[in-house]
Amino acid sequence: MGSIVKPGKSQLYSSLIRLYPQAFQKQYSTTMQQTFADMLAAEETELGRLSVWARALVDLPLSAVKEHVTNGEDFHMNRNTKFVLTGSLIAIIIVGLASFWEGSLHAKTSMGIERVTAAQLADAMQQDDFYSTYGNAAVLFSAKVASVKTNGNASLVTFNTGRTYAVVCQFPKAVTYTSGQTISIAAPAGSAERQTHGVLLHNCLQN
Amino acid sequence: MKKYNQLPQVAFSILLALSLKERHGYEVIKQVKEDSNNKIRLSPGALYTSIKQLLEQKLVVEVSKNDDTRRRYYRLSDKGKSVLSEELDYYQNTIALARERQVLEIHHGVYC
Repeated sequence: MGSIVKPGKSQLYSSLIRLYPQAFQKQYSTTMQQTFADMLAAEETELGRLSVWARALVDLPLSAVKEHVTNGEDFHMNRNTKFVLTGSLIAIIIVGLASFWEGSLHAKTSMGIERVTAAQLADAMQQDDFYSTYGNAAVLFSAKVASVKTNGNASLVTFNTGRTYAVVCQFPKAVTYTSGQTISIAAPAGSAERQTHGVLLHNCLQN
Repeated sequence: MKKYNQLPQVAFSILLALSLKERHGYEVIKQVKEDSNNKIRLSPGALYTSIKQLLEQKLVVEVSKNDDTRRRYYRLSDKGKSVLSEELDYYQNTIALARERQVLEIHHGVYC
């Protein structure tokens, strides 16, 4: 399962920094984003990253309001203040929901695990959208073995795809699969190679 | 007698974190968390609004690092060291007073 809240830079966080006075943004926007990225990167679990996000969503509007007030900008304690605070709270909720959406999307497209069929992999390579679709993901698929070639401590297994393009897996060990056997494979798609009529996946593992 | 202005807790924690060495933002956050036994968990907003004030008060100074342009590094200024020392003296005296009055003994029984 991919991460719901991604580590790294966030467009949403940088958008939230716009709540601060412009002078503050100019001075600290880059370093704040970097610090936030460092905090997310240090968290190993999804829960930890969610916790960082939750604290940031509370911290940012509050410290932004404080910064506006201490800078003596047009920020009086009247209806306008309530309006801005309410707006900030709505922004927090929207940003919170959006961050989940962004994280889910990211998990699917950038860091996640994609369950696919061998035919989808073959089609993607044939249509030149293999790397843009799966390039940052690990692919999981089940397929029937067409042939196995073993050379020393490595094996190349070709799978039936029902297409003109084949899917070939390179295993970093000798395997004993037989033609017609269905096996489940996990492989990093980013290091895949285009073949004349197929896709070669390196470092495959039986799932 | 010199007027004593107690530092806000976050500002004090940041100065304490910078007392060992210069640090960038995330390192300050980590050190503050460690120094406070996980009780103070700063986020970038609170950190940089406090750092901005500390810079204005000349208690910290920014350190230039050409090889890391996305992070800003800070260290204590001489004035910052002096203010931190004054603050620590205040706490030390307060704790001594509390011990003398057996306040800590009554509540925790472990500090005397």
